[in-house]
Amino acid sequence: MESENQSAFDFPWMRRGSGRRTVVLAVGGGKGGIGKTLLTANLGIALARSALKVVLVDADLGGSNLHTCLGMELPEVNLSDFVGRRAERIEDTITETGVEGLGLISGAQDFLGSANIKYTQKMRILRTILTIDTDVVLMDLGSGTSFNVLDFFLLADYGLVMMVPEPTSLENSYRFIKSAFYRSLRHREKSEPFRKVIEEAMEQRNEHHIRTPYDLIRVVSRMDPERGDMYRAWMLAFRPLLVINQVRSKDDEELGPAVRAACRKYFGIDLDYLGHIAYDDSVWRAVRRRTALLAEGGESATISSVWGIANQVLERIRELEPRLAQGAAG
Amino acid sequence: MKDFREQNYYELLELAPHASQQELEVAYQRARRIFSPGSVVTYALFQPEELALLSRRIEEAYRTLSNLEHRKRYDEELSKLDGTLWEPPPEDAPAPGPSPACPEAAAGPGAAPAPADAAAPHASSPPPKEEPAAPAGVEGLPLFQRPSSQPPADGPAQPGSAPALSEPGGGTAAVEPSAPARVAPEPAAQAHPASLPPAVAPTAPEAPPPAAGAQPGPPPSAAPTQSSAPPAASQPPPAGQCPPPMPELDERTVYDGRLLRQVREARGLDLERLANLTKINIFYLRRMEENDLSQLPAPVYVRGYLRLLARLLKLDADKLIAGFDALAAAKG
Ligand SMILES: Nc1ncnc2c1ncn2[C@@H]1O[C@H](COP(=O)(O)OP(=O)(O)OP(=O)(O)O)[C@@H](O)[C@H]1O
Ligand SMILES: [Mg+2]
Repeated sequence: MESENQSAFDFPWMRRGSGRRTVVLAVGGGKGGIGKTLLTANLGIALARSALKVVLVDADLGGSNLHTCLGMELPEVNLSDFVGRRAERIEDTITETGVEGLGLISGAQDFLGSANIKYTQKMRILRTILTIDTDVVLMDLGSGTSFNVLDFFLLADYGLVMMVPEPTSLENSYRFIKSAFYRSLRHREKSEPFRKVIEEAMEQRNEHHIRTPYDLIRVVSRMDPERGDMYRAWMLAFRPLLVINQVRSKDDEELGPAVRAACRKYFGIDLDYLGHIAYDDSVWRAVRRRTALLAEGGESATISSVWGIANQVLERIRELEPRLAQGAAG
Repeated sequence: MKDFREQNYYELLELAPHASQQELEVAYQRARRIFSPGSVVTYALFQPEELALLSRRIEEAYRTLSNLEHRKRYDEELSKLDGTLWEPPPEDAPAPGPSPACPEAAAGPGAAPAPADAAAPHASSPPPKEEPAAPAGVEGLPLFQRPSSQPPADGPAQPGSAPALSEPGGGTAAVEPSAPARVAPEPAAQAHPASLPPAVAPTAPEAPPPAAGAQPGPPPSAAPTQSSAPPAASQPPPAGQCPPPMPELDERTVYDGRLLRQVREARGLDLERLANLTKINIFYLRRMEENDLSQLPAPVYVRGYLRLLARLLKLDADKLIAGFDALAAAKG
């Protein structure tokens, strides 16, 4: 049975015990080519340099290239070995990156070629990612708002949404945020009639004229007021982190707070804005040389802005898992 | 948080209730920039009509709030509809404390300044560059003063830190969202019912306040004279009705939801009021008091809530958090 209706899996934010566990991060953002993979690679390096044990997961099903951003050859083992049961444990698919404390689980090359993985396979990967024995798992997502992408995003304790200052990117990111939120409701909601309403909301045109989470909550509250409260609470707990990349002007720098205000007004979703990264030729030059920006050392405005974002992420990681405050892996 | 059609002027501009004129100016310019029709940030979100309506509301908000006379009247209106917005901070609020007739419960709310940092789940994050996050916000709890003509003594230091007056749930719970906003609706004959706030517009300064919508309250006609009296919501529980005694706190005390409830009751607070004070969703408060953690958000948020509750209820925050951690562990 691959029905999405069986909730075979509780996302970690649904229930989090107090035991030691891995903090999961994901970088998404709807549109392709905006720097998700670049940020993932460099964020991974920054966190590893901050004395955390980090495993990068290339979850861009069908377009994996995280290894390239890290200046690595195509790893010999990857996620498909785990899915195809050639590797018994997911840990067996981790490749050293050359940066101390930073491992990579490379994207699958074959079975995931079409990004069409089976639901049960996806669930197995999701479930297993949570068990990787490390401090932090950082996932690079593909573009788009397919359920696969969204589910990896929702697996994360902290999901980063990336945007670049272009209308198309904003549009896609907004759609991504909204879809992710609806999808999270869909995962939490166990009652069939309400699931129907959520699924309906996910359609552009729908019977109830639901266009925003506010509209959805209004409809749900009318059916069941206490549930409406619950949805409202879920809305407040849904706080993707926001990063703006490829900033070229002073005006662009104001974009982050403005996007945040607009999302709050329109969706009721309060993004947690981490900062921006300047557009910089050194970035693509580094990509061409097949090295990660942070791997080379040196200093530039871009490098320090990546570090700025990494430090913000680090604070949130430590807030979630105070044991990581000393940066002691182990 | 509310749909912008239901937001009052302060919420629209993301201003604290007693924000200074300068803060108002900054917030207004900002809102104009962000929500102007050509803005790249909004184009993919709002329909043109919505943007037009929003812009109009922002202009109205500014027009009203920038005129001291109109603002005062508007504040009075608001406080009638939702007294909790305007009630004095816990320091001098008689309400959460025991009534004087019950001396044994005299601990009182004390000078517990609700810290801004307890407001957001990412409590210990660096100061946000922008408004504090809304979740669990007691955002600016100490800032909520009764409207008066005095300048705000402890207003947000920087304009940017003015918290949104948004309602993360608690208060809104009682309000059917599709009903007219708690901010009084317009007379039905108007073109944009429910979308426009009370007619405190400059053009009709003497217009009688519109009928209160969502909340049963004093009839609006009683308004002008009543305005200086403290809003009903902040009145202490009727004397003679003593809250239950404060539970003993010692090393055997189990810090859990039951204790939260006992202490809350001993302090004469009902759940709704606590939700209003803390801006924690009443649904969450109920679950916490029932020790039901399965419906709560990630612990990082819950910890924020607990810290905030501890502050308000005068409990040891660390013990409370440890208590809930233990609960979570026990329940797997
Ligand atoms: N800050 C920047 N300055 C200059 N160039 C940048 C910057 N960020 C990204 N780029 C360029 O954009 C390209 C695409 O980046 P990247 O591969 O990380 O995007 P992506 O979002 O992962 O794309 P996909 O969705 O296709 O996986 C990079 O190769 C780089 O040349
Ligand atoms: Mg990529």
